[in-house]
Amino acid sequence: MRTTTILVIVSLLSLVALMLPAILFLAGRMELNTVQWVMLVATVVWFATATPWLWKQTG
Amino acid sequence: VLAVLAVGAVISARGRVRLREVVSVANIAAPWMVLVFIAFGLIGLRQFIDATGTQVTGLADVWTLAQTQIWKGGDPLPGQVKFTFWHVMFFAWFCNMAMHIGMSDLSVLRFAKKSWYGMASGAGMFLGHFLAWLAASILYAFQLHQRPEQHQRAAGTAGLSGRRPGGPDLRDHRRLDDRQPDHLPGGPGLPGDHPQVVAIPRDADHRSDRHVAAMFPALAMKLLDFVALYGLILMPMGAVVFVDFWLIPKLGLQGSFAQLSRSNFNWAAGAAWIVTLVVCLAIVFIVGRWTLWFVALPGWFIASAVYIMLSRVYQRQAVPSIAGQVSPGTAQA
Repeated sequence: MRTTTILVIVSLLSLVALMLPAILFLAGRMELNTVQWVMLVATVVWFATATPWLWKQTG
Repeated sequence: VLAVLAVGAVISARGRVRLREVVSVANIAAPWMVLVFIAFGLIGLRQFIDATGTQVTGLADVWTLAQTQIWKGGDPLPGQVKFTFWHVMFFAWFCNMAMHIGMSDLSVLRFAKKSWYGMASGAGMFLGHFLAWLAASILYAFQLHQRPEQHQRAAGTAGLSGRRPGGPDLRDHRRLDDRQPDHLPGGPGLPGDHPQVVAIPRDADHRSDRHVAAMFPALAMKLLDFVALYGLILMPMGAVVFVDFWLIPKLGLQGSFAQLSRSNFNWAAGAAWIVTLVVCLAIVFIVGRWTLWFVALPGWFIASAVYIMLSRVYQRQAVPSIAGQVSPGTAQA
């Protein structure tokens, strides 16, 4: 249960990390190259951490 | 092409074996995919600002940029219909007509536990036909801005122009369809409740066909026409279903008449379908191809009217005793 809670929190934070670089890029406060890497990492983290608890819900 | 082939092979193969796995992947990817849509739009917008040297101090400047650089219009490509605001609006409404107006949604939604699950169709259209289209059009407009000679609506080209980060290009998703129940066997949320009731082999074959189609750019370039046409083909039956369930009992006729009369075919429904298609296609060929994106609206009312009129005649003639056995309004659609 505790592990699931941590996974949920981390996965939701990864979604924030997915969007934030695009917003910062729009504001001119982040380079495109950095945006790409952050979004790539956020994507990996999302699928890695969301899969266990979302899979359990629908599986 | 290779990406489509790989994704299509995995989805079709796994969907054929175990649908629940595909539904789970769809549910996991859904929130990520929506945010990536939005992120692409924001990134593309910034790149437009930089490329045009626009000074943005408020929303008014963004609006001016949108009008003068992004959605500035222009002449259509040879052989293509000039799209106006009304084309986009009607196409956003009708491009999944087979699902919503054609009632294919019911293949999934009939198992919904709550009536408000029907909002899934509207929410899907908003995300797929509003947010995703805005983002995709920004990417495409930026591609044209950078390379005016590059008119191809190719996924890779538009994606590279926008220097996409983080995942598959928007247009890959658009071509493989967005978020409707036909995207994956259930779409986000709903289908997971009843994955066992979906016809797995048929669904897997259906998606295999779509993935094969998506690998051919020439076919994908005709997507607009294809989607409009296939939605049109199913639309009359959606009107028949709607009328049969909601209106026919109120008019003193029997819904589900074929079932009640133990017939394999409802001639009123069949005739309504054929007559509507003939009328709609005649309008398209006679008036002009531009009507393809609008004709479904009058077509729905034509199908409804024809079905009601023919039902009145048909139900009087076919097995008169049936009408006396079941009182109007008791039939289930």
